[in-house]
Amino acid sequence: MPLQTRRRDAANLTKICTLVSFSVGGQRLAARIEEVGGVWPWSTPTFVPSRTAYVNGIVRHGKDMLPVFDLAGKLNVAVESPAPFCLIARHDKGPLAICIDGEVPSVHNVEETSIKRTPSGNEEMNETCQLGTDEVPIYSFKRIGAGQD
Amino acid sequence: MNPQSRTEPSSPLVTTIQVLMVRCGSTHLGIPADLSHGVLEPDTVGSEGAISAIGNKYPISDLAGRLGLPVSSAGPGTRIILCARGGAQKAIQIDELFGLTDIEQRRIRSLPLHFTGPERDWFAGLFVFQDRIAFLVNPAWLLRDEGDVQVPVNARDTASASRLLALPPMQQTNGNDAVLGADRADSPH
Repeated sequence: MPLQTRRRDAANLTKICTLVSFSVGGQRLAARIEEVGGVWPWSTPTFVPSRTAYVNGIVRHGKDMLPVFDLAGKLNVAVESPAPFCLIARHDKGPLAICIDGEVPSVHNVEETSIKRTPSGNEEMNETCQLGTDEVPIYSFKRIGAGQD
Repeated sequence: MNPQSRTEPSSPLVTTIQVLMVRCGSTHLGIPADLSHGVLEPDTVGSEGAISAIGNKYPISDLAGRLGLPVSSAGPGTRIILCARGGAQKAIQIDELFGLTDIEQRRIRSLPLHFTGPERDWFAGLFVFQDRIAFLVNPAWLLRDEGDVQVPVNARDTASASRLLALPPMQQTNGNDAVLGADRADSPH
C-alpha cells in the first residue's frame, strides 16, 4: 500500500478511550483507565486527624499505606455495600484508596469524541459519557486536591 | 526507666527513637520520650489550668481538641503526661498509656502528600504499632503556645513529684513492631 494511503488511513482512525465504570453509594461513575491502579477488597481504614477536605484516613495495602479519599462524602452519598471494594486511584502525589460499592467495576471502550464536557461545579467531575443507557459522569482522580496546596 | 530493659539495636547502623505510646480517642500517638517528664493520674491534678510538679509549671493543653478529636471523659486509663523541652512545658491528657518503646527510624514514614492541612505540622510521621497505624507527634507543635484550652479535671490537691507514676517499658519483638511488656515496678521514668 502506498505510503500516502497509509498516512491517510492512520489520520482517519478513531481514538479510543477506555473507561472503568463503578458505583459509589448507588451513583454510577466512570474513570479513565490510566487513572485506575487496581481494585481490591476494602479494609477498615485508620482514622487520621486531618483538616484536608475528604482525606481523613489511611489503609494498609501490603506494605503500602495509602491515604483514603472519601469520594462518597464528597458526593454526599454513602457506601452501604456489605463488601465494598477499594479502588486505587492514580495521582501525581501517589495512589489514593477510594471506597466504592461492592459491585464489580466494568471496563468500556468508547470513542474519545463521545466524551462530553459537562460542567458540574465540581472540577474533578466535568465530563460525561454514554455507557449503555446512562449518561455517566467521568471522575478525574488526577484532579483530586488540585488548587488546595 | 531501667536502661537494661531497652532492646539493643539489631545492628550498629540501626537508628531508633524512643517514644511514649499513648491513645487519644481511637488515635494512637507516639510522643518522643525525651519530652516526657512524668505521668500523673487525673485525680491528682488541680483545677487551676496548670500543674506544678518537679519545680515547673505545666499549662494544661487540650490535645484531643487541638487534633480535632472528640473529647472523652476521664476513664480508668486516663493519664496526664508532663511534657517539656527548651523552656516550654505542657500537660496533656490522654486516654490510655501503653508505655515506652523504641521505633526504628527507617520504619517511620512521612504523612502522604495528599494531606495538605495543619496535620502536616501535628505529626512528624507515622509508623505501625501493634498492627495499628500510629502517629509520631511533632514535639515543636505539641509544646507550641497556641492559646491552650483549659481541660476540666477532677479537683484535688496539686500533684507533687512523689506521685509521678512509673512508666512500663515495652519489649520489642525480633525486628518487628513493638508489643506491650509486663509492668516493672523498678522502672521509674
